[in-house]
Amino acid sequence: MIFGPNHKKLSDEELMSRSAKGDSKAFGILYDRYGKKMHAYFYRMLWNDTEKAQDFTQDLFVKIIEKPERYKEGHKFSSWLYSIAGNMCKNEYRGAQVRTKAALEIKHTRKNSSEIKENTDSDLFKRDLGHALDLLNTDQRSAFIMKYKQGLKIKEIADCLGCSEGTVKSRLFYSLKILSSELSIYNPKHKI
Amino acid sequence: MKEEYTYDPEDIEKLLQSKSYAELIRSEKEFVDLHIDSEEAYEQMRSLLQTVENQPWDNVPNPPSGLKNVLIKKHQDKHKKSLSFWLNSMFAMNTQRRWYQQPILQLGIATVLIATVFITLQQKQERTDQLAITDTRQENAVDNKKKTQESTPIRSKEKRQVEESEGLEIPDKTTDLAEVQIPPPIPEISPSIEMPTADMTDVASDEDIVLTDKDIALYDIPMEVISSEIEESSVPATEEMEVEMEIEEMEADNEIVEKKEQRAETTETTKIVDRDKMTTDLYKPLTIEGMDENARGQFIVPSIALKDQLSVLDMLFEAY
Repeated sequence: MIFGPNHKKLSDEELMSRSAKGDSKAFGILYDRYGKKMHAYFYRMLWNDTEKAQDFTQDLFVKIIEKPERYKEGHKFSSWLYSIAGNMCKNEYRGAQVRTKAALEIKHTRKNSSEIKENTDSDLFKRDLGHALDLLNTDQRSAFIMKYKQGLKIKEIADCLGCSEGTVKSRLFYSLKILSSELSIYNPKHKI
Repeated sequence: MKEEYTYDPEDIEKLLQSKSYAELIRSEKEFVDLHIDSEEAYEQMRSLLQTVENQPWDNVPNPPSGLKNVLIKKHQDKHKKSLSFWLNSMFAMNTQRRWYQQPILQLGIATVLIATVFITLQQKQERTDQLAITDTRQENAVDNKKKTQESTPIRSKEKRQVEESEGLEIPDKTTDLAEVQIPPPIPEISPSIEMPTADMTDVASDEDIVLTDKDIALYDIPMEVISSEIEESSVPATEEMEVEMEIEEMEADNEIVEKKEQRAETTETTKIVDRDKMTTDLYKPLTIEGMDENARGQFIVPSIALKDQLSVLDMLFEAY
């Protein structure tokens, strides 16, 4: 390469290494790859709050800028990024004590949705699913979002959450079980 | 035959994705019943999973477009600052690093190493120069010796043996000649050199006197000769010596008179005398036939007596 490497062909880890050395272009490409995903993750994890998702996304990337030395070479970049994001969400949960609030909201939703239980409108389903996710604990929710929203593989989720693949599968199974019971009104067999 | 379960609890997802409860075989049903309460719950989970996987269940808004620019600017600003930190850390003791990682120590070691290498190279260069000079001298000495040996006839051992067998005893000096350094020949000075004994009054009064190169050559006497003559003159004079001196004085007077006559004839052509030329001729090194070139130098400096004679000449010129 006469004019340097093509940044778009570099791996996440190489881009991160370059970014730590002051390569702003490498940092820009990392943002292109993960900015939208992380925003969606925060949005889903933080009660569909757009502003919070934006703030948390910005904070996450600022951490990458300010403390790049926390990333250890040889580790997968995406796992490291999701683990930071998961920890940020956990801290937020501790401070806000939103579980109760979420539970109240889901009850309200169920009451409303019972009136339109035959309605399989996707918007309603999505809204209720979002509220039902808040009933999960942080690890279950993270695993569920990473698996079904972010499209990560079981191994990657295990790396992000710092647990075994079996644990991830187990969490996913129990998440499904909880959500299906909460969203039972959308089950076709419940139709009257 | 009792079938053993081949599934782990967490692998139930695969069954949910692929089969309805009715499609499960017996072993699978037994496995599912262990973890899921009922057929209804199984179908409910299956429906949810398919919904979640197959359709976008979350309308997540995109992050603001300006966020990327803000972050990149922050990244650039951070690395500008980090440069100043780096410069600072070059000269400050960084407490987060170990002693051998301190930049100032590393710089110091590097400086000492460079200085050591530089000085060593310089000293080596100087040594090499000295060796070169020594080698040249040695080579010259060897060449001279070879030349001397070549120019000197050396009797071969065979010839020597023949001569010895014949009874001829010839002293073998040829080998010694090559080693012996021949001193420069001492110039022979004729005893006929005479000191000028002209009377000052006579010379001063004679306005026509002009000295020629021949005359000046008379004064160009080596210091050693004069000193030997002085030594001789320091011996108490005997009557014979006094007589000889008187004769010499008379002869000198006669010579002067003769010269006066000769120069009177050539006055018109030799009136002007170049004083500078005379002086330089006076200081010319004495050249004697057969004298070694190296021995010439010792005759360059005029003796004290010559200086005195110069002053006499000055007086003559003033009078002239």
